[in-house]
Amino acid sequence: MTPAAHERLQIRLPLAAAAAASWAAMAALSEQRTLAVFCSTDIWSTLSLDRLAVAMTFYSPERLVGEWMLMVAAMMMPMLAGAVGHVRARTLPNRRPRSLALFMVGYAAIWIACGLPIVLAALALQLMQSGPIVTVALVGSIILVWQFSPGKQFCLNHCHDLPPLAARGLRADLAALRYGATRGIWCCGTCWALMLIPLTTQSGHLLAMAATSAFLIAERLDKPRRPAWEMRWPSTIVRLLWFRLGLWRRPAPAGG
Amino acid sequence: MADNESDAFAHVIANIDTESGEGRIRYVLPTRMRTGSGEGSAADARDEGVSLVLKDADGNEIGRVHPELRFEVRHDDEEKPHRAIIQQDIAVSGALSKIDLEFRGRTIDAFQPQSAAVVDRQFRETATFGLPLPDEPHKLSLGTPKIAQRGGVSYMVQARPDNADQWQTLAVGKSTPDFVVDKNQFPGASSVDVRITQNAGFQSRTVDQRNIKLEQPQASIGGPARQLKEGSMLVRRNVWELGGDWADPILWYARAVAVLKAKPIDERTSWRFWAGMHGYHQGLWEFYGYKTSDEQVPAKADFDLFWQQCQHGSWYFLPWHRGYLIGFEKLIRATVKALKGPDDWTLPYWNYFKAGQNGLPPAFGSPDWPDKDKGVNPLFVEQRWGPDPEQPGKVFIPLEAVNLDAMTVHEFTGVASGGDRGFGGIDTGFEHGGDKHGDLEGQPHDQVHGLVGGEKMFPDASPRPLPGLMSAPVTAGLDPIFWLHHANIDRLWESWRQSAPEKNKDPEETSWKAGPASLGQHSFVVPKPDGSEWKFTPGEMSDFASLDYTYSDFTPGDAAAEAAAGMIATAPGVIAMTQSRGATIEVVGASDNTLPVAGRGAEATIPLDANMRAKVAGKLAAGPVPGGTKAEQVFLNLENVRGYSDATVLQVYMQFPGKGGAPSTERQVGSIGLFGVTKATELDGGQVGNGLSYVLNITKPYSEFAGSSNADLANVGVRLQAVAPVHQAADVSVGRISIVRQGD
Repeated sequence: MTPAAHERLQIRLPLAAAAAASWAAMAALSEQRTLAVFCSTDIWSTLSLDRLAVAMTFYSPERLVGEWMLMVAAMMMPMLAGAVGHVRARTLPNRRPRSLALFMVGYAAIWIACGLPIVLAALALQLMQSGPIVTVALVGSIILVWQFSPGKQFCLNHCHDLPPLAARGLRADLAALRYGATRGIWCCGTCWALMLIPLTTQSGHLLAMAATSAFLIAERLDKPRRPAWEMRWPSTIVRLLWFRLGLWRRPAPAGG
Repeated sequence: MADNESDAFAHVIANIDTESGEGRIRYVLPTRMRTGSGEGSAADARDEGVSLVLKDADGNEIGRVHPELRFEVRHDDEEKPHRAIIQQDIAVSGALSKIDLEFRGRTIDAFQPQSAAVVDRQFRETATFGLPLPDEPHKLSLGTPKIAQRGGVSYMVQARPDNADQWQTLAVGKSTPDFVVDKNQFPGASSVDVRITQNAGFQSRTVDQRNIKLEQPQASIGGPARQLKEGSMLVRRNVWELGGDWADPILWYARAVAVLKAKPIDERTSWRFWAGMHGYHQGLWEFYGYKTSDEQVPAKADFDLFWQQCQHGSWYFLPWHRGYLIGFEKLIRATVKALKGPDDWTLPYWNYFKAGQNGLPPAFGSPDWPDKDKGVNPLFVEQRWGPDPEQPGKVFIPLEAVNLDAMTVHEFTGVASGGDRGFGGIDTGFEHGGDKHGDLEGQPHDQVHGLVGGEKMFPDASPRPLPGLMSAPVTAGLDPIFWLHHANIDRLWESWRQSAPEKNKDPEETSWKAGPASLGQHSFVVPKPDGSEWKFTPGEMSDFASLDYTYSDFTPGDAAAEAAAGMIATAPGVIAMTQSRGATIEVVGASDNTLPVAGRGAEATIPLDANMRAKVAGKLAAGPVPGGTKAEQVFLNLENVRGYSDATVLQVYMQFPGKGGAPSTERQVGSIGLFGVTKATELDGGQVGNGLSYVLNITKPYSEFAGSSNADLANVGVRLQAVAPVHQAADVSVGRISIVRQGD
């Protein structure tokens, strides 16, 4: 293992552990899990504010926020290694815990704020629905339009930002907080559409979450590119697996 | 005087500054034959008043020589050159016991050897000759475990293959005779005599000579590198030592370049197609006339497969460029052959470190050439402005802006978090423009690009300075000198491996050896002379023995100067202790604000954390932990360097303040070249805009002051001094400057 790979591992292991814990909690809570139910249950088949009020008496907002953040933690933690490693490397050792915490606070704040419109979007889909096919079509269209847009690529590119960070005093705290928040914005921008998949899937919710996570990670493996309207899919991962599985071989030497 | 002493000579290396009157005898190498140095006109020296005075044991003058001075190329023609190197052969008589360096009647340095050293008795019993290295059977080690280092005693290793008459010198000035001989240096030979000569003062004696059998290297099976092989080993030679400005290899190079330049841009064997493989920028190419707006770049399939491949800021930097050079050399050779030239053309290298060779080779600098009837010299490039904007077109490498420090690093790949990145760079995927250059890439590679290319204002075209061809990755491949610069970088890679074969090894990881294809990314591929694809991997490029070329000389810079001045020497022991995997890397202090750099440079203050300062001072004072592998090291990080001036080279100085208002002491800690900074700054091309980040090892100067009671390191200064003034419009800035420790 190279020295740099060793460094990355030191960052990835705790993040992977945190993500694994979040996944375990999601699985354990699956019996009482409410967010996905909240978003996809039949009660929204007819538009009714009364019914929303009734529903809210069963689903406490704190609980919904908690579940949302658990989902975000499970899905996003594995993708934070670059940013967390950057904060750690560029911070004085005695400030590391504080700066990392502030980074996480900034990051989480953005995701909480983004949670509302994303969950509302999922709700709106349910409110408008006339059948599962329509839901799939609608969710699918939103995802495809955003995935192929320059906006999506712009956000994805900025997920690689490694800005200079102040090292001392209040400036250092603000720098960590600001970096967390901006990273949160680019992350939400990159992921919000695809997050609709697990939100609108009631049966097999965890599976949908896992598949979405895998796709998001795969997407991050591709190099930044010029933002434009274009068809894009994660191609690096396909070639990577192809190579690793030994399906790809150098063609036999064809003469001198 | 004995007969055999009448043909004894000593080769004296010295420097002198005729302005300040300072000078030093750096090195005296006894020899049995004249090296040819110092045979030119000595008129210069007499005018300058420099002489070497030979004295006997009683201090009486027994001879006087006026050596030839070789002046370093200078910034401005008006200022008279004043720094010179002396390489002079003197006849050694039995009475000689001291040499004085005299300048205008004043003795400024003297060399008086200690009594001749006694050869260790154990030498013959313990010396091992010709044992193949375990991993690299083509290399033979010479080992003498019982020989200890002694002041004033150095060793020279020479070899004479059975198909040659002359001894060739493999190494001089070594403190022990340990050495590795690469069999591939002797193409066509079936055995080679190797001899070791001990030099002590004016005495020189051969302490051992043996014959080593060379079975022909076994052909490795298959392997695409093999496919290109066309018979015997070809030797890349020093461009300054080909035997004239327009020696045959240069003239044939020029003719071949003319042929390739005439081909259409989308033809795989055209000059511009090869330049585009390194990098491409439509605006600059069209502005400089390398493409018309009507011309189409290669079709998408070819563009995606071949173009914009160059690897920078990556551990693939060296192997990618090696493959690129091999492909290019084949193409030029095939073209030379088609022009009815020789069929063994090789790419010369430009070793700007060698005394008197820091100037652009003359054939590249003049629009005229021997084939005058065929137009302008194909090696001449208008957009090659050099380091001094006052004298555009005067191209040379100011030697104070470059060094060979990378050669002392013993890990190929290092860390990305502020510590040593390693000789070859950090592990990345396919990286066409990474922001963290490895040690050799960051010095001297980047600087030479910018210093040769320079930049120029074109007010009608852009508010910012535009880079000379060599200055930016997107145009560098268009300049014929590019290839000679990279041949030198390629040579330094192999030189690094040979200098310490047990330690200096290429990576073993599959992700390096198999290249970015193993990560699901772009393969490395260049066209063969017939236009078909040649794919190569770093693993193949690392197997130097299987490649069909070698270099005439693997001395990194100037053998004589290095041996004497310790140019690339670091204290032994420290090196062996260093291993960056798992090392603790911590920030010691960092600047608060972004530092704009304009004009002649900029300065910043770096507050250092008191606890961390104490920690570093304690660890430096304690020295290496017994059995530990992580010696304490200190690094200066220049982070998020952004701007639009790829040609800029900044000399980096550190200022260590004295205690109680005492003046600061300043030390140069290296330099940085902003090669690739524009691309790393822009956001629109799918770039991230983080800028480039640099790491300079400052362990030596820092440790000098860390424990000193006269220094106060609560705030240290960093001064950046531009070799050429930085234009305000180029918006160059350093996002943050930090000091980082690496150790246990």
